[in-house]
Amino acid sequence: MATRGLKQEWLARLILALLLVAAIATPFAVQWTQTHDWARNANATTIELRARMAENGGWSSDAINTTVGQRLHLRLTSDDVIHSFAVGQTDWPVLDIKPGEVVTTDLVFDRPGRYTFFCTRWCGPNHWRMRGVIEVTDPKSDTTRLPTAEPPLFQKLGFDIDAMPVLGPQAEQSLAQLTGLPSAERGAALHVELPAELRQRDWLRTHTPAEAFSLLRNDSTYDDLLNAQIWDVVALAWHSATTDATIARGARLFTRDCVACHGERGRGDGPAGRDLPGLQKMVPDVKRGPADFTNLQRMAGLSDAHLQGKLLRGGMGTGMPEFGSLYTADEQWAVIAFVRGFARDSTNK
Amino acid sequence: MMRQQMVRYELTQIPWLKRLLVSRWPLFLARAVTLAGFVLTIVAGLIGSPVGSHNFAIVFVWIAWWTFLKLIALPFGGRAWCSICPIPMMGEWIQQGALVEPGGKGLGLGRQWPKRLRNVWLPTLGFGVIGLFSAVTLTQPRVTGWVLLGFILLAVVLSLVFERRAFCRHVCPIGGFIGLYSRVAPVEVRVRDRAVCATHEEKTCVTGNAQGHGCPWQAVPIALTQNTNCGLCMECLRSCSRDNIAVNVRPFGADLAQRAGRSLDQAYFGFMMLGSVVIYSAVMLGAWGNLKTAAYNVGTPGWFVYAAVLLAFTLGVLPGLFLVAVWTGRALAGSKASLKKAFIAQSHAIIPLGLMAWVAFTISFSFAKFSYVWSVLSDPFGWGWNLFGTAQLPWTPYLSSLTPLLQVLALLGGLVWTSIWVRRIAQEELPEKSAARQAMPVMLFCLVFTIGMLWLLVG
Repeated sequence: MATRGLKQEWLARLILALLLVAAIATPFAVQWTQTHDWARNANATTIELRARMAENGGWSSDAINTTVGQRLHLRLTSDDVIHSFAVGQTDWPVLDIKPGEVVTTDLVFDRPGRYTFFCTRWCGPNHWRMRGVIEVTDPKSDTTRLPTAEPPLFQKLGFDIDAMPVLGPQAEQSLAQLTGLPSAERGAALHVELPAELRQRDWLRTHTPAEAFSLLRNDSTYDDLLNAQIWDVVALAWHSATTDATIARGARLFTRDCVACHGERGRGDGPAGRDLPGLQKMVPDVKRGPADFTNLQRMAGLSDAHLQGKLLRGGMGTGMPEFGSLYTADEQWAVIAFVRGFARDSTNK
Repeated sequence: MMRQQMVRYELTQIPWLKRLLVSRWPLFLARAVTLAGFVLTIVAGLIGSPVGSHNFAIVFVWIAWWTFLKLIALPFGGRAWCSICPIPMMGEWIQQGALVEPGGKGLGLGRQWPKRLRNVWLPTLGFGVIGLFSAVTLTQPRVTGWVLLGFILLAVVLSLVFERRAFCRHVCPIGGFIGLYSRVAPVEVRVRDRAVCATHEEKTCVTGNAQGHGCPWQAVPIALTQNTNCGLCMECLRSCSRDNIAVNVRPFGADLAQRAGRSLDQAYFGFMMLGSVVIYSAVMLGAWGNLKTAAYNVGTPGWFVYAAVLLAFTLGVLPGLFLVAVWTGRALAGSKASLKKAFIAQSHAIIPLGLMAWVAFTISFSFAKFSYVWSVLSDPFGWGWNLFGTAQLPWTPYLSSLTPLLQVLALLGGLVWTSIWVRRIAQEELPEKSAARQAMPVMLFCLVFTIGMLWLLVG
């Protein structure tokens, strides 16, 4: 090659080298500047969290450690389908994570504790496994112990939440004669005064509708009411113990977290619940699959505290996940209040 | 019996255009940019988001590049893409020992490509293999990244062992695809005057000189009658010391009249392409979930059934039906010509139909998905960047109301175009009336194929 040719050759090599280096190095350089955005992320810990269906590995990290007051800068993305990111027992808004897109959020915890983060989108058959823990410690405190939450009602009362519901002969017989579901509206139309117990929220939470029925049936004040009307009054008692706002909140949570298995109408016929064993392993006579909340014989024998226990702990071996780490106490009672409505006429329909 | 000299316009008569084509720099710069883009594509495929619609590798290769190739580069430029394709470049530069200037000390054993493989059976097989894994390759960036990396490494290895562009000419399935359909493109490189070449003893277009390399595609320009083996690299234009090479614009489909180069391997490659477009349309655009599942889940029993159906359909059923059509036509025409010869000749007439079927297939998704290009430009790795402010642009299908019309026009145009050539090729050996009878069953085959494609693509 002549000198001019050699010069041209070296120029070409330089151009090619620059282009190839740019092609390889640019992505890493840009990414480095993004994750080391000192001004924006000062004093923040940046964590990239990838969501994948549980069958494909779930969250890329299921344990995050941080300290009280430390800013946690999360970069969330999904590798497959739409997921979401929520932190249990907090008011932080739920973030949708679309496939291939990156959403960011900053979290600052003001109390130490174990916070569960989870997906609220029904992303796959094992959606409920998409959970992880953010462990928040307080560096200013010597103790590494996390505050212990107050035991739930069913534990305080020593309820066996795996025991099958008991109705008692009086309630069982009367339920067998019912031609439809009890109605709070019909109960209100009777214009009867509820006994003191049925006006106390704590009593209602710790007793079953069947017990309430027996209380009323054995009270001579209500002798002129038919059994069906007594059940309407019981329905009214539970309905009166809650508010429309609470039921609406429960409905939102039920739609988000429960519908896939328990079905839109609470019949236990949701598509994600088809292959779940339910209680059948323990009690062969029980129908396979998630609980049917429209089944009055079953619901009348369960107290709210019992239902809370199921919600908090999950159904061991039934396929029902635990929601204790996700829901605040108010959210738990809201879901229970909404679920109760499935065994009443007109409400939740 | 028909011979027809088609009109040409010589582009190299335009001085500035000829200077542009002879200069090595425009081509080198285009190649360098495509190579850098190719490397970026591999990097994106391997380390970027696994979500195809947010990864440069999937969007740029299978939407942007594929659309450009099928709708523009191939129908109008023939092997134009091959002239800037990045896959063989590194191997070729190592082989030639230089990027732009001839005369470098290259590396490589320089062996001749085996005679048995001097055909397109390997590309046919390669395209079949691509088809078997297409549902995965076209949707999973990692797989695309590894496939492209594999291609470039294979090209380098073959360049080190064999002489010139052995990979492009005898191995590359896309090269085979482009070569087959480049015959209908309106651009060609040909000698101006064969007599000049005949008296030119040095044949610098083959051996090379200080101005240009010997044809990297191992073509001999004087013998070039069709585009299949011309990579439009312009080396012969540079190396020809007699200034006897021309770049021409010509009518579409001009090469179909050429009898030379018609062979069984080319015919089968055509059927592989024809069958593949049917299978691709069914898998990617059809409403059959089980078929998609089978194609996607490589290694499962369903996939093996899919693979068997694809290979049987492309290499057995389609050529078999075509053979029956040719045999019937031959019987109707009372032709005594060899069935094999008639089969090979007629199979070259369906090249326009195959090309237009691929155009129609490409139209079905390219306009609908092209808007992914804008978001991927800003965020090529799916890492949350927004380089040009277009990362959040929503997916917007373009020309959705026009798409079915364009597809129908493409397929019907392909049918008419092919029918013309079926008749013309039949007339090469038979009188007009007999040729019409010979052509009729083949036209019926093409009609059924077109109706099938219309059903798959337009419904």
